[in-house]
This record gives sequence, C-alpha cells and structure tokens, in this order.
Amino acid sequence: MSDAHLIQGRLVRRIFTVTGLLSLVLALAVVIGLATGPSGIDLGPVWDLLTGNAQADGLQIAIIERIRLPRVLMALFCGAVLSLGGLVFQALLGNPLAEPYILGISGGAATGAIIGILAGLARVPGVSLTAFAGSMATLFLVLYLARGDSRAGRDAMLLSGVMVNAFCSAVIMFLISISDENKLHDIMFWLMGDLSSADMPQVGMVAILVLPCFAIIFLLSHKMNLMLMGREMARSMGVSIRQTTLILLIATSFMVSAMVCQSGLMGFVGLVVPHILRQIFGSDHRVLVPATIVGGGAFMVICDLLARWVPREGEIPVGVITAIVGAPLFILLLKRRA
Amino acid sequence: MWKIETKNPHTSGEVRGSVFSHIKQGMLKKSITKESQPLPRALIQLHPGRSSDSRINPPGAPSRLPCGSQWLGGRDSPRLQRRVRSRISRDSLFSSPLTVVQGRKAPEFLIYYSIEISYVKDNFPLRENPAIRLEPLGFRDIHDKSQDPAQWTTNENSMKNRALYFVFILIAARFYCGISISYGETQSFTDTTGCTVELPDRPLRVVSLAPSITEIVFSLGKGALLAGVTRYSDYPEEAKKLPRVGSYIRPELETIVNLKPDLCLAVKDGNPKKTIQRLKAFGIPVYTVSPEGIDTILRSIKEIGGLLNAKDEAQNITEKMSTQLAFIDRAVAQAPHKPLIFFQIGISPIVSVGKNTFLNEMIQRAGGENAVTSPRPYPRFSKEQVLALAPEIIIITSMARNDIFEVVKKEWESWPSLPAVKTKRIHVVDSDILDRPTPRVVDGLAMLTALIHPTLFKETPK
Repeated sequence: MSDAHLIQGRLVRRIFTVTGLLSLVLALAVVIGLATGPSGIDLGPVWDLLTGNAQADGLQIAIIERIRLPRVLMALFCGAVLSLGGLVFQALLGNPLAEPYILGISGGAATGAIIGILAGLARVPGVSLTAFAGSMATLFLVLYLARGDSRAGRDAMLLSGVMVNAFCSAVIMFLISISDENKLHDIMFWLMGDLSSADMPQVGMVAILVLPCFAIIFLLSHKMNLMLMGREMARSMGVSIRQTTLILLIATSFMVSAMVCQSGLMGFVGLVVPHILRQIFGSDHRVLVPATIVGGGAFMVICDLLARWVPREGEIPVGVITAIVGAPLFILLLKRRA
Repeated sequence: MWKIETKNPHTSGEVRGSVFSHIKQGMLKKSITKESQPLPRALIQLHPGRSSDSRINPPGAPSRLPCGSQWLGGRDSPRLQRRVRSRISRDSLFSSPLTVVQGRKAPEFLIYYSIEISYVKDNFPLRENPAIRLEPLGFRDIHDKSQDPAQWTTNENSMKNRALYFVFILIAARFYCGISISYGETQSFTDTTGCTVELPDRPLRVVSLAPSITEIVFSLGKGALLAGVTRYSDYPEEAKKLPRVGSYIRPELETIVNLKPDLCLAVKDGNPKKTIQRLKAFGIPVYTVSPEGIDTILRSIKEIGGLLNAKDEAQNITEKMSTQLAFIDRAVAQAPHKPLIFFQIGISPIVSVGKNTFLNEMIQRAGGENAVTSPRPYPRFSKEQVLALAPEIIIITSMARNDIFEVVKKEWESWPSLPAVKTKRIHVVDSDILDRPTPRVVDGLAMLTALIHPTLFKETPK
C-alpha cells in the first residue's frame, strides 16, 4: 500500500516537474510572442502590461491585449490540440507516423469547412459544424476501411487514412477550382494555416470546446499506456478497448475539427512535438499528455512569432513555418534513432 | 477664472477661458518678466481634448490616464527649453508614457492640461500654424498627498503665472517641432455601407486601404495626409514611399493601429469585413466607399473630397471627368456597330470578365459588346471556347511590363479563323488605368474607346 503510494507520489511529482518545466518555456514563448510586432520585438510594453504600469502607452497595451494576445492564445491552443491529437493517434494505432493531418482527420475537417465557407455560412456555428461533420465522416471512413482488411492490421488504418487524405485534398482542389476569386484568397490562406484573424471571442469558444477534451484524454492516459502494451494485456488489465478507443477518437477528432476550422491546416505539429517529448521524457502517457499540451502550445507560439517576425513585410502563413521547422527536425530525429 | 470644477482628473471638466484668452489679457507678458526668478520643477501632463478622447485612448484600453506628459521643470530655463524642443513631438505628446528625466529631482508640481489643437484657417501648409488651446485642469503640489482633484488648485495667484509660463514654453515648443494634430469638432458621416462614422473635421492621419483610394487621395492634392497605404499603391510615384499596411485583401491590423490614424478609408468589396470591424473597435473611424462603376467612382471622389476638406478639388476633378465622359458618350453614340470583344485578364487559365463587373461596364461604355455573357464575375475559358465566341477584338490586360503578353498575343495570332486575328485587332493594354476605380479611369475609357472605334476620334482631336 505504501509502495503504491510512493509510486503514485513519484508520478505526480514527475508530472508536475515536467509540466512546470515546459510551462516555463511556454511562458517565455508567450511573452516573446506578445512582444513581437511588425516592427520587431519590443519587450517594454509587455513588461508594462505585466507590472500593471498605469503610465504605460495605452495604444501599445491595447495592441498587445486585443491583437497579439488572442493570436498567441490561438496559436497556443492550436499547437496543443494538434500535438495532443498526434500523441493520441500514435498511441491508439501504435504507429509513430499517425497524426491528425496524415490520417485525414484534418483534411476531412478542411473539406467540411471549405464547403461551409463556399456555402456562405458563418464561422460559428456553421463552418465549425461542417468541419466537424467532415472530420467525423473521414474518421469513420478510415475506421471502416481499416476494419475490412484485418491482415494489414493497424497499418491498414494509416494507409486508408493517407488515401482518404489524398481524396480530401483532391476534393479541396476541386472546390477551389470552381470557386469565385474573392473567396479563393480566403481559402488559400486558410489552407496554409492562418492565425492572423483571431480575436478573443474565437479564442474563448475554442477554449470551451477544447479544454474538456484535454481533460478526457488526460483521464484516459493510463489506459493508453496499457493499450500500448498490447491488446491482450490491456484487456486482462480491465480496459475496454472498444470503448476507450471510441471515446479517444471522438474526443480527438472533435477538438481537431474545432481547431482546424479556426486556424486552418497545419501539418507536422502532431508528429514533431509528441516524438520530441517522448524522446526526452519517456513514453508514460500520464506525463506525456500534459507535457504535449504545454510543449505543443509553446512550439506553435514560437512558429507563429517566427511567421510574423521573419518577413520584412507582411507575414508567412504559420503552416508553412511549422512544416519548414518541423520536417527537418523530424528527419533529424529519425536519423538519430536509427 | 481658474476655478477647477472637475471631479475627474482624466476629463477636462468645466474650465472657463482658454490660455489664449489669458494671453490676450496681458498675463503672458507678466509671466515672462518673471523669467529671472527660479522656476519650480513641474511636470505637465497633457490630456487629450474631449472630442479626441476615443482616438487616443481606444475604448477599453487599460490606461486612460496621461496621454502625454512632459517634464518641463528645472531651474535652468535655457536648457529646459532645449529639452522641451527636442522632446515634444507629435508622438511623445500623445502617447509617450510618463517621461521621467534622469538625474532630476522629483517634480514639485503636477500641472494637468487638457489639450485641444485646431486649425485657424484653410490652406495652410501642413504642420504649420495650428492654434493650440490648452486648458489648465489643475495643479497639484506633489507633496500634497490628497488625491481629490477638487483640492488640487487653491492658490490661484501663486500658481497661474508659473503655469502660464509653462504654457508659453509649450506653445513655443509646438511651433518649433510642428506638432500637427487637429482636434476640434467631430462630424458625422454616413458611408456607402450605411454606417455612421464620427470623423474629425480635419483628419490628419489617413490610412488608405486600397491602391485606388490612395490614388484618389493624391488626385485631390491631399497625399500629405496619408499615413499609410496598402501594398501595390504605386501611383503616383510618391505613394511608393509611404508606409505599407499589408495588402488590401489582408490589411495588417496591428500596423494600422500603430499608425494612429484618425481616419481609415476602406473599400466595400475587397477589404475584409472583420478587419474593418476590429479597426472600429479600436476607436478608429473607418469610412467605406464602394467605387464599383464609373458613376460610383465619381461619387466616391466627392465623398473622399468631403472628408478631407477638398470639396473644391473633388468638384473640379469630377466635373472634368464628367465632361470627358460626356464627350466619349457622344462619340460612342455615333458608332454604327458594337464589336464583340473578348477581354482577357488572366493568361493561364484564360480568365475573362463576366456581366456585373466594372470592366464589363467599361467595355459597354466604350461602345463594345462583351463576348462573355456569364453571370460569374471572372469566368475561366479554354482556347476552344474563345474560338467559338469569335470575338472581333481581343484585349489583353497586362499587369507587369514583360514579354509574356506579347507571347499570348502571338499565340492568338496562330488562329487565323478568329475575326480578331483577321482584322489584326489584338491589343495589349495597361491594366492599371482600366481596372482601378480612380480618376484615371476616364483616360482608360478613352483609350479603350479609341481601340474599339479607331475612327471616331479622328475628326475631333483631344
């Protein structure tokens, strides 16, 4: 009994240390993110805001509070959701390549969202709902396809995911080719991932939708550990595989589609962040789930600030940065592992 | 005279008389004679005038307090003046945080002012001769711990001369540095989207959210008012030097807010509605025009002229345009035949213009008939479809000066069955004067008419 207590205590401590450590990184990223504007990085106004300096420049403070803060928060949620999505899928499918983007969940949500945009629906709830419908449709399609071919096992899911994703891309391209010029620009930016239009109500809505999913996934993190040890093992430990899988899949696709319809498509985040964290902190999901949420948030905030800071005029879509930063990092990781 | 009735230190409250009236009464002279005696250290805090409040402190901004504070104190007045001269600028006056000059002792007095600057007469060179109106809000002895503003100023006689001296410095500094901010009455306008916009009667920092608006503002002779323009604002030449605020499809909110405009000019189609809403949420007045056709261009020019105090210029320009338009209309009316025109604005894929577009209106007004009857604004075409339309004239608009358009022209010329090829009527034209809704559009129309009806203008030289 005391042993169990000791282990439990150690685990809790470990969760807190890891999350705390990453939170520091995240806090630093957020502060720099808030300080980054079109004219460079200026920490002064952020400092004024944090210290509540009443004499501070009202305009700068307003810019930080009402333009940069929603954007940084949106990036934070976006990174957290996509990374956590990747982590869950990798655990469920036991495949290191699994990720919402690769599995077609993002693609499905994107297709749904673009149909919503073309139909002239409002972002909330119209486009969000079509995006969710799209992601659920692809999810069940992938699950159905994977079930049919039992020989290929878990790889079948990934393979069918890739195919569904390819199909979705084709549908998206088709929709783009028939759409009006003025909607086209919107859609293109959205496809590349774009956080620039975020405002506080949007962030609030994303938070309401996404935070319960975080909680559900965290509560199921031990079951994910057990499932990774093998289905038989998990079943003998009293895990209802079907039920757990279904809950995790729905929670994950729900938060991914809620996110994607606000931020657009961003690849590689769900691949890069969980893998890096797994290499550093081991593969206990009870530690990894909070670590991924915080670490993924930090990664995206940094990518977003690069997107704003790097070009001299205008900005690069964040999705481009995540892919440019993420892909080489990932390859490097694979190389080292081999 | 100096009784302070304000209860709130951040608004000016009821203060009778302006500094100018005091100056007129000879009080300034008196205060200058006292220059020899040591000045108290004081800090002047300037508060924006009532009418401009929302522009400097956006609603909801956390700090509604001092918008400009200037250290004016010291016991060495020549140096003091130099400091003031170098430090007060348009920006520091209205947005700098409290300036604490290092190595100085804490101020003995705080002097609160409400500031209103307005222009006395028209046609002054920008940044010159605005009348400044400073209304003292109160003085506070720094050692006096009482926070109640009503208690601030009691001893009139000892304070007012000193205060006036500071005001004099401030005014002098203003003339040295050329602060140009117009405050005064706001005016209400209703724009083409039906939104009511409260505007300063003399906007001085205008951000244009489309290349066409930039052009209109310059044509009205008000280019100096522009604080920022969108990318591709390349006409006239001066526009290229202005700060960029993103493209007109994706204006950068933060860059615009940072420019502290007192007016944003937007276009209805093109500028994203969300950005406009968020600009308004920052307290920045946004006036939206919708120059969609030739008549609405005329209206937009008049509207912008009205906003920027260039009514006469706008009247001149629109009258000139109307005369030219009438001339073209008369000429076109005599044309016996309306040739079928294929207007190519995209190369691969081939994109043309459908009905309900600006270019369609231009074609018709120039006495042509658009070969494309699609209801979609910018339909795509294959070569085959174009051949089937059998246009009598092909007009290709070029955005850049390169040879690709000549190549496209050559390609069309390899189809001798096209009527346009038979009669050698394939033209490459500059797109800027055709598809930008600006005063130059009349030149574009004249050019287009000359291309479509080359014979019409022969007898009436322009």
